[in-house]
Amino acid sequence: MNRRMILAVGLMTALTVLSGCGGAPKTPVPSGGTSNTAAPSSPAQAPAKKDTVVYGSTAEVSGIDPHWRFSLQDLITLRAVYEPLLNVNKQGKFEGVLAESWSVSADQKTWTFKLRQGVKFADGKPFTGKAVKATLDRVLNGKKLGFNFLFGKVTAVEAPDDSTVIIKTKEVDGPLLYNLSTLYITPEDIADPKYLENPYEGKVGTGPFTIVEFKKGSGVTMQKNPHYWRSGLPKTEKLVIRPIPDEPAKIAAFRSGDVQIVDGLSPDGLKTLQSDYTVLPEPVWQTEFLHLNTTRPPLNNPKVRQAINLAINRDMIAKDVIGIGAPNAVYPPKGLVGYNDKFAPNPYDLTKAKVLMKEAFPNGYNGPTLKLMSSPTYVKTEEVLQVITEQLKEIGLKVEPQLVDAAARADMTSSGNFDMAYLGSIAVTGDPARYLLERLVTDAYKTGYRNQAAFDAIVGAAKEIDPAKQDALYKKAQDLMWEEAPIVYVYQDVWITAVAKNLTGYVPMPHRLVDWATVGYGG
Amino acid sequence: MRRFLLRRLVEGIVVLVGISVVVFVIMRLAPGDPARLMLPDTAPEEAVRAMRQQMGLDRPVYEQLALFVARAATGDFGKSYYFNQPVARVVIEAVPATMALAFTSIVLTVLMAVPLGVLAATRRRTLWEPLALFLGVVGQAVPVFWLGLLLILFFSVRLHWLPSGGGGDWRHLVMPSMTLVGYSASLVVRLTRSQMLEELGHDYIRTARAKGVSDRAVNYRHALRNTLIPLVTVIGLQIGALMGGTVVTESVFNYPGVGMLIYTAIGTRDYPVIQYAVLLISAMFVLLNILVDALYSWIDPRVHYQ
Repeated sequence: MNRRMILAVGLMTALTVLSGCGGAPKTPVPSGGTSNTAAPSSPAQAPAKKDTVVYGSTAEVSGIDPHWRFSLQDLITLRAVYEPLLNVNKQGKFEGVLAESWSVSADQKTWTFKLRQGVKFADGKPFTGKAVKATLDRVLNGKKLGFNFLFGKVTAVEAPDDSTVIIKTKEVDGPLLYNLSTLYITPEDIADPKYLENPYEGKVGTGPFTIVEFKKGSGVTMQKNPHYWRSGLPKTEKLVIRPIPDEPAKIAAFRSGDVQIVDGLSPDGLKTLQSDYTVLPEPVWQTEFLHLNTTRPPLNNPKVRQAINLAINRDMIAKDVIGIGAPNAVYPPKGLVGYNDKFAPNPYDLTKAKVLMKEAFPNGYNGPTLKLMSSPTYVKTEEVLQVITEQLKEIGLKVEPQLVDAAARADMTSSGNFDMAYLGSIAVTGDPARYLLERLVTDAYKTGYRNQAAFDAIVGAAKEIDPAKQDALYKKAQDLMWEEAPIVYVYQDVWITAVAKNLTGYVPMPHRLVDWATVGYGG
Repeated sequence: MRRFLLRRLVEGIVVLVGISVVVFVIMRLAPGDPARLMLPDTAPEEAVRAMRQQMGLDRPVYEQLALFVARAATGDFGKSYYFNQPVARVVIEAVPATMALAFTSIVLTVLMAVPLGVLAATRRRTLWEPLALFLGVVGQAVPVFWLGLLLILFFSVRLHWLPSGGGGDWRHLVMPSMTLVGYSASLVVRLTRSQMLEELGHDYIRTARAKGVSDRAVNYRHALRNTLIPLVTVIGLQIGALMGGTVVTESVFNYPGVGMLIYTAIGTRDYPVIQYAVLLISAMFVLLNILVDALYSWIDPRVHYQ
């Protein structure tokens, strides 16, 4: 009897768990990130009704202030709520969003933007030049803001009438329009001086959705903006952006129907998706590369650097290790202004590399072991490091991979405490200038490399607003630096997104800032 | 008893202060610059320097520590670098989720593991024994992330019964707690069984049986009561460990608890969040330990505290 009692307790416990399972609906459960309090009036809890789109993001949003941190995940997410003056399209060209047109003065230092008329914020208030001025003023004066440094050349912003905004710069600012494509315009209440010190907590913009709730760890829940200016959009009532950094968890969430969009998948992960989905591979403006510390021997010898450039078989890394992605040997990569197709994407030439090493070390290399440092931030970092290590051993170098976490990696590169660093960078504004200026000219990553003629060309390009002139200058810089290879480019990413079969309108972008308005079920 | 508890409490406070200082120093010794992580990859050096100054990170470590201690004494633990909110708010928001998970797991563990361990010891050479041993070994050996993924595959992907991850209502609790129970129950089953066997071999049990005491009374009033002491210790420590949030389980299920928060905070070098969360968990650990000690004398009247 007593034993039966115990058995019964045990069984009941097990049954409690199982009955819990049985009590749940047998259809896909609506989003895990949506809490019941998120939208009390919304019928989204009824699983049959397809009015909620859930995107499982790779990283977590830091907050809902669009200017606090310059973070890709914040930009991707808040693009559903706010809009910039203009956008960079797939071809790298500008398209008006809140600005309909723009022009520049003869000295190229005064920009006049004509704003779109009839646009309203989600709370029904009209969008005017005052909002643009308030936004820009905040970013210019808020020293705490992650966006502050982007607009260092802007001296004044004026809104002479509701439909015009004038931006003045102290010198010709080549990247200005690109940078504006990531500056999201908020309502004018952001002009309150308290937002120079504190994050803005508004929830309405001119974008297709408004924020219902932001919960750390669970993401952002958004609801349709009733006043959205593009007719017939957005295509869904609710949008939920929920962080799922772990790939297996992301795939499980997708397969169970909890989320309808997942991205940043590895080719291996893609194979395990199984259920009905559409794959949208997109070559993004992200490159992976090796920074060489040119102050340390033997990397201070240009012949060794060039030998490294020629010894890396990029085809093998892109196709056999990563599984997807394009071999790339230059910056800017394909798709950006200044891409130089004169250089083969895979300049692999082992014989020539060995000759160069022979010239540098007639008696064979007998120097220190070089550390190849990185963090597991990029696709298959560990495997890539291993392969590069083996490839460099072919030319007689002694190399050892070194994996640290992302914060330590950033520390080591900024202090110059590395031999070779495997890094990646995405041109989220669509502009190669920032990358080239910081990586080479101001040497924020301490390669220690100088080449005045090439740097002049890069600085010159950042002072041009004509893409043709920029293009020529970037190509010239590339020509001048090719033989000296301070940075060895390895491949250009292809970003893999999978969307549920019945979902339409998701268009992946090379800078990863997608248009959420067009995403929905059916036509 | 009261004096004992008071002394333990004072000791606990010393421990907490020690932990805070150690955590503070270790974080600043580890490579990684929170200011740099606030800004994009290509931010110029001046921007990083300005940010570091804004965050007070340009001062010497001892000065930062002094400032931290002075502020912490008034209950001000600063703001999260990443979320830019008071750190107490950030961490305490994650506590209920972790508490719910820890509580569910520990209750299920006790309800399942203790009876199973007792049955395995009292009904030897029946099916109960190999079952308990099997679960005891498998539960310990199976990696948590693997069990978690299997559960997701079965209950979310195949059956569509449960959400695959995230937080919210009770349905999000089921699979993470099952995963945790798998691990902690195996420990408790093995311990209960071995302790019970040991007790049942003692002379007083034989005496009791010789006196004609019923099986039930022998097993539960005498043997089980005596196995409770080590059991309570282990379960107490388990609760402490679960309070810290189980980083792996929470990340597999993307469960928004303290473990997940600490994990991401380490990645972003969000010093104040790590500091506060570790302090909070340590405080709970210390309190639970005192509670367990107090429970001893209640369970076993032979235990007296001077």
